[in-house]
Amino acid sequence: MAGKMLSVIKRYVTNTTEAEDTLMEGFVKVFAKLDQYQGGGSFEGWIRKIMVNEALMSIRRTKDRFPVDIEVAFDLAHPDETLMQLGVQEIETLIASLPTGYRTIFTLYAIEGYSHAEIADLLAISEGTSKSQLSRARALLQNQLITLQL
Amino acid sequence: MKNWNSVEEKWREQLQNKSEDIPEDLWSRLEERLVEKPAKRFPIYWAAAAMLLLAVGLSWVWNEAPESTDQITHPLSEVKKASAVRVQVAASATQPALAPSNAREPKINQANVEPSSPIAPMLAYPEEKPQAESIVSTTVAENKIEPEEVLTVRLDIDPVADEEEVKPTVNQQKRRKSFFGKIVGEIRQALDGETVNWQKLKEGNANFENRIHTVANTYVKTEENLKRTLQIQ
Repeated sequence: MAGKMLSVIKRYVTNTTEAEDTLMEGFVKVFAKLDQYQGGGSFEGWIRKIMVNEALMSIRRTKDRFPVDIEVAFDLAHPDETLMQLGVQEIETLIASLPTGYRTIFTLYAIEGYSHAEIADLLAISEGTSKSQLSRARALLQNQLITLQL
Repeated sequence: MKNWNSVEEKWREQLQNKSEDIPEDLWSRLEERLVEKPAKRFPIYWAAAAMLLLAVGLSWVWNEAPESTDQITHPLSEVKKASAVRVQVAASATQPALAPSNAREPKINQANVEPSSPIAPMLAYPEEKPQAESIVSTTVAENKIEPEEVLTVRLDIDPVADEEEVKPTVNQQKRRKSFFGKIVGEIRQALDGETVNWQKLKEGNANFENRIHTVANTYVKTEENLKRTLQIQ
């Protein structure tokens, strides 16, 4: 499970050392808050949430802020068929190429399955910003696909 | 035609179970961190204990504060007492043939006084004997206070203390004088052979009961009168 959690963290914190430190901090919190686990959901899901929160805190510590509000949604064309053919490593490389703000919102929404309301709450931004950032992230991914020649 | 939701869903499935190799020392580092955690809490407990101790100490000091205030005001009351005593002594010094020595104090009891003596009724009075004892004991107390009188002279240098404290002392002295005269009158009445209610004299007179120097001066005067009476006899 630790390896899986490190993988989750690395989607937010690209630096390996920072990601490992974040993983350790996350586990410290897991042990500290173990009595708070109610057993309502899966234990892995509970740990995953803690790790995501810890990763976001790590980003806040190292980066200035999450993206400023840009409420302009981009009209995206349908995604390239190539995106459906990518392997795990290629997907990770593509996501890691995004700027921190876009990457964070895209990962939270597309990979972790958070809603825009939850993202807005987590990152202290508006839902509109979350949506616009997701649109921009998608557009960038499309562009990066060409740039990286995946 | 695919949309982004289907792409993201596929990516999610692919990445869901992705696992990375964790560093070998992760668990040992984590163990160290978890051991460190309680160690960090100890200072908090110590700090709490120190705070508690400090609070107890402060409350103790706080409770002690009024006592210290009393101690501060005490010398002032001593000044009052001492100045009163000083004035009293000065007043009694103007009396001729004052004999303050305790060494020459005659033993006053009913055994060595004849029943025919003019003071016999006074001594025969049941309340008189304890009073004579209290007079003697208060005279001893008066002698003990005298060294403090020297200490209070330094406090008298303070003009504020003098102004504030001497004025009421003079009034008290006047009251004492009148009371003193009353006592002398009672003693003369006793010497004339009339019955004197000493208890009545004492009742309602806080000065008589509380002020040692007044009683002591009364004793001195009584002693003087007794001597005179015995010489007459």
